[in-house]
Amino acid sequence: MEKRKKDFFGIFFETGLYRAGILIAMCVVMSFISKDFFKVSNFLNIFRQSSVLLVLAACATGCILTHGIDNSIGGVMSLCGCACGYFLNHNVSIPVAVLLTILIGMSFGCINGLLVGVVKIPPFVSTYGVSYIANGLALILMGSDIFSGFPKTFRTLASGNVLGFPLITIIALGVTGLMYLLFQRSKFGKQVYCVGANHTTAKYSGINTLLTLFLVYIISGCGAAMGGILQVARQSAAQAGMGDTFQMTAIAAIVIGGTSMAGGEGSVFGAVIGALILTLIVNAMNLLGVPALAQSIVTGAIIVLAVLLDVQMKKIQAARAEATA
Amino acid sequence: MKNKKPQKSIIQVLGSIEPVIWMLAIIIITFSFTGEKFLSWGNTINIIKQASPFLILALAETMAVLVGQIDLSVGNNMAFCTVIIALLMRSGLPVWVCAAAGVLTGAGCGLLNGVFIARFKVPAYITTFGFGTMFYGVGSLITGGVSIPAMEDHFRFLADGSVFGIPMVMIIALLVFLAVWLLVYRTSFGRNMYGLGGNREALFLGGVDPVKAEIMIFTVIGVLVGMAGILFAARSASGHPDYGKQWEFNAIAATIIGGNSFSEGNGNIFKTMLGVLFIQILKTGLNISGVSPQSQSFLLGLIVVVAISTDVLLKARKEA
Amino acid sequence: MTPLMKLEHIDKQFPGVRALSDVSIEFYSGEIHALVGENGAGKSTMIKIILSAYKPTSGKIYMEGKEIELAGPLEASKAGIEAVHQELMLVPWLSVARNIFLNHELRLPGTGLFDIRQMEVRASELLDSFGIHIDVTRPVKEFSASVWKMIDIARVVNLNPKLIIFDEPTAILSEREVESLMKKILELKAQGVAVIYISHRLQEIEKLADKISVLRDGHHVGTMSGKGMNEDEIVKCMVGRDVSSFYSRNINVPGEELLRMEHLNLKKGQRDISLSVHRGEIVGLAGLVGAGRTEVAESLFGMNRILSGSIYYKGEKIKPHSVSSMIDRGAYLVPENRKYEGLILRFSVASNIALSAFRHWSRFFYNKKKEGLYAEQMIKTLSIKTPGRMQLVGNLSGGNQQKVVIGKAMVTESEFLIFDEPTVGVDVGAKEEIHNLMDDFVQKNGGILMISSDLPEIIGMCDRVYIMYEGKIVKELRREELSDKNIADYMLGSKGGDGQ
Repeated sequence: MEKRKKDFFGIFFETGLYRAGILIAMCVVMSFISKDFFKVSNFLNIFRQSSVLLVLAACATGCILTHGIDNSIGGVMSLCGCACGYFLNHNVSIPVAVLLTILIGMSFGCINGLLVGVVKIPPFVSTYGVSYIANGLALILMGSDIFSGFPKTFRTLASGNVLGFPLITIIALGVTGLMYLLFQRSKFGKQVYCVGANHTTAKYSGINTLLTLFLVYIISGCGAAMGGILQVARQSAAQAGMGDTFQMTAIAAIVIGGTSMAGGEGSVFGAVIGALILTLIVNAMNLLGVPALAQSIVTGAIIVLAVLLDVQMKKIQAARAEATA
Repeated sequence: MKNKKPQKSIIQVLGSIEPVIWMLAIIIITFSFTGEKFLSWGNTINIIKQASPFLILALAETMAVLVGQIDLSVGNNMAFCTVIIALLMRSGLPVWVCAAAGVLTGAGCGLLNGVFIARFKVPAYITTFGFGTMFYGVGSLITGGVSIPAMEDHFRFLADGSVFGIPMVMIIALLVFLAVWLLVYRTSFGRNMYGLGGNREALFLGGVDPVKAEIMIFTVIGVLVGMAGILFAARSASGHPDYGKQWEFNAIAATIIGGNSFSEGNGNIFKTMLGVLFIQILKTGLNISGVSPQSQSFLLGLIVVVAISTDVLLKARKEA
Repeated sequence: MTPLMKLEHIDKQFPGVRALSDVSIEFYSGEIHALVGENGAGKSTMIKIILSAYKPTSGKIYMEGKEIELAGPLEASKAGIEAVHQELMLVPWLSVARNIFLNHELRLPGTGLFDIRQMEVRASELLDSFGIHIDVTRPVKEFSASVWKMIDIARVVNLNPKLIIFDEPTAILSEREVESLMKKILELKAQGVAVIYISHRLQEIEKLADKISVLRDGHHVGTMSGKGMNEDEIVKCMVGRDVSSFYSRNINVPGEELLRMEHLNLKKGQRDISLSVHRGEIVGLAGLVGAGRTEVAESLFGMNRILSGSIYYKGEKIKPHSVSSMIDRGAYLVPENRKYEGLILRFSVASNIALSAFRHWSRFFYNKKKEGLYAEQMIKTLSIKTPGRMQLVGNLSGGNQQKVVIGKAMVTESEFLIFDEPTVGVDVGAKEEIHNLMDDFVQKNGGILMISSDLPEIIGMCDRVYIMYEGKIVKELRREELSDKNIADYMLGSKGGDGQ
């Protein structure tokens, strides 16, 4: 009896399920505080709001798994969003516009891969610089204009429903599922974890570390592009700087989900939980009428506290592992 | 016979110069052609004035980088300090009290960062981003998002005044630089900093508590951020939570372009000074050459990336 | 005479493990006391207790007759107990002088600021007394690993301790530096310092030790006089059984050629390298640390660019450009530093064994089933001692870790292995097993190129030996010609040189 109980907690901690527990706990608390919270419409709203973040976080998880980081998500997202708007306003058909936009995102991923893998600039710095380039290009393209008035079919991406479920969320979940297969079930995913846990060993073991890094950043760039497209569809508008706030939130979602910035440890599932937690907080603050100016205080504090909790949990886990070894 | 340094050929000497110096030379020559007034005395003074508070901020960032961490909050915390200073000044407190309060605020922010990073092991990236966002929020909330004037004459003298023709900001920046130099190269603070970046175990076995040492370093970073805040507030004669925007990128870029490295505590504050000059000259030069603000962001990013790439590639080549 | 330090009935209990049980040892001033035992026998636990980094679960420690209880390494240091650790305790980008005075800086009177000039003068004098003449104002990072080690040793000696622990000090030193270290240790002994010396190299212990204490499974097996001990006896005590013949090799007639390098010039500075390895052979590559042996091995895997010359593998001329392409051809490099180059310590035994081969058994999805299958097979055939295949590799002993690296190579079905320092930091028992595995491998028609700094290992295991000196192969010796003296002469460059 005693043993079974211990095992339950063991599984709870080791699989990171407690993070989902936190999410549920937050929902429970919120349903007591606000009567508008526990409604189907609000949950659909949360799903809709979280979709862009889900795509960004899931796709960028690979970078963090390789002990890197993609600081250009926000910049590339802005540029891609603007480019997408530009294409649509210049009578490019929707599929072609989407495809071209994703290509732009991927090429920025390529540049990141080049700087990180070949030139060997610390990813933190190189992707930061690339972010500036992308942002700058968006500014050159847009100035202070705002593109809007996109075809209705395009806007359906965000506003449409399939069997009552938001289309944008279905897309996001599709992308997330793909990332799950890619990073956690595939051969490539194993390479990503190996490169992150010990780059040198991976190299000596015959893993193509350079290709792995390249692909990881390309996937992240691709994610930023998709995020940009979805965001444009949601807002029905594109403007420079639209991705700025997503940069840090995406990274925070990944890390809150238990992916270690030291590389080689974490999961796409965690990133999903992280993204949902962060969206839930914003949703809750809006429902509770927290003034916009104060929201960043809460967001900042929650991010630090969530990661603090995660770090402490891992410490407890490590202590347990040592005790049982 | 012993300790005799081998004679180096001119090529070796030239090759051993930090790449940033070459890049500095290149942009100075380029801008002297593209912008007429670039080489004028007025512009030189202008660059120095602009670079002075920036230097202090970059020195703070350098400390974080040399212990192998990162501080994403220097911009927001600095802006928060300007808000506190302006608020106190508006309530009629004497200038020196306001300035001291600014430094204390910075130190407090740094301490908070340090405790979470060193004691609770929250990654610096997250800690400093989270707290930076928080202080930005606090600043926005108490100012309501508008700038608070800080017009006191003595205070403005810090930014606009000069002594014997030397700008006051420059004197302050150089004094701070000297103080940081002493701290880093002549006290156990500096040893701890290099030790944390290079070999924590050695530090621990020598009886230094790495956690305390790291908290101390982040606190000093906070103090420097506070000082930068004073100069920023004096320069714009006001305080605003938005003043810090993008300054952490500038500080990090200056640190890295100068040739400091995240690993093993490889770097020094002179490199940072060169990095600061590079970025400031680049910004001013782009302005003077009539590049539109939209294109400036793009060019700045591009040149920074190219400059860092050159630096890294040249060094890798030298080592091979 | 009272011992300088006396451990009495020391017990140390970790959760689930008893690292030391009832250990009583005395250390005297002016005496070199060697501590031997296999990895995991409790040596490092004991050192940490002496340095008071650990507190014993029970037992007493006396220093100069008085019972002491120190709060940590800092207090131990104040009491005059210091250690030269296996890891380098230096800060890479501080100057040599600053490192020598690390945490004990000289200060200018009055201000409390560091007196850099004074430190540099004193550091320079100190290093001169070690026979090292370098610019002490430069960062230590600019010097080689063996110089680092000597700086680290000088740093510790400079603290004038009463008791010094040397933990594997010679692992990365060249023969010449080992000699100068030996001289220094004897000097320390003459000055009345108590020395605790730990090494896997038994010849050093034979040369230095006044007393030898043996630890086995956390127990103190015994302390004997160091004079007149021979290696076999020490090994017998350590392992607790006869390790009959240290090196057992079945010599065969070499088969077809596996690898031939012809006049290679390499980017990292190695010149005119020609060598060959046949099936059924173990070929040695001897030389000092820094002679360029690893770099030659790396050239076969695309990690050191080939400027000119040619490589033939299984008779076919190849241009190596990546590790994976060579693994596909059946060649495998077992790297020097297994912890940082060979293994992912945070991963399980099974995942590590799969590292090089999973590319082949997986199409898109990672094949977890095969991973388990191969892992079980390797754990059995290599007799890797682990609680299970899911155990983290970081928790295994050095010898078993090395076997996991060998397992990685085996599952790729390699025919040609390069071992870079295969048994550094591996205890005697596991060393023998690894040597047997190597012998077995060449019996089954494989070929091995072995880089080693351990002369007895080279002499015991190799069919032929190439000796490198300063980036060149200066001599090839056949098995009959192998002797300590013969190899060392070429390694040190006193014979051979340019005119081979």
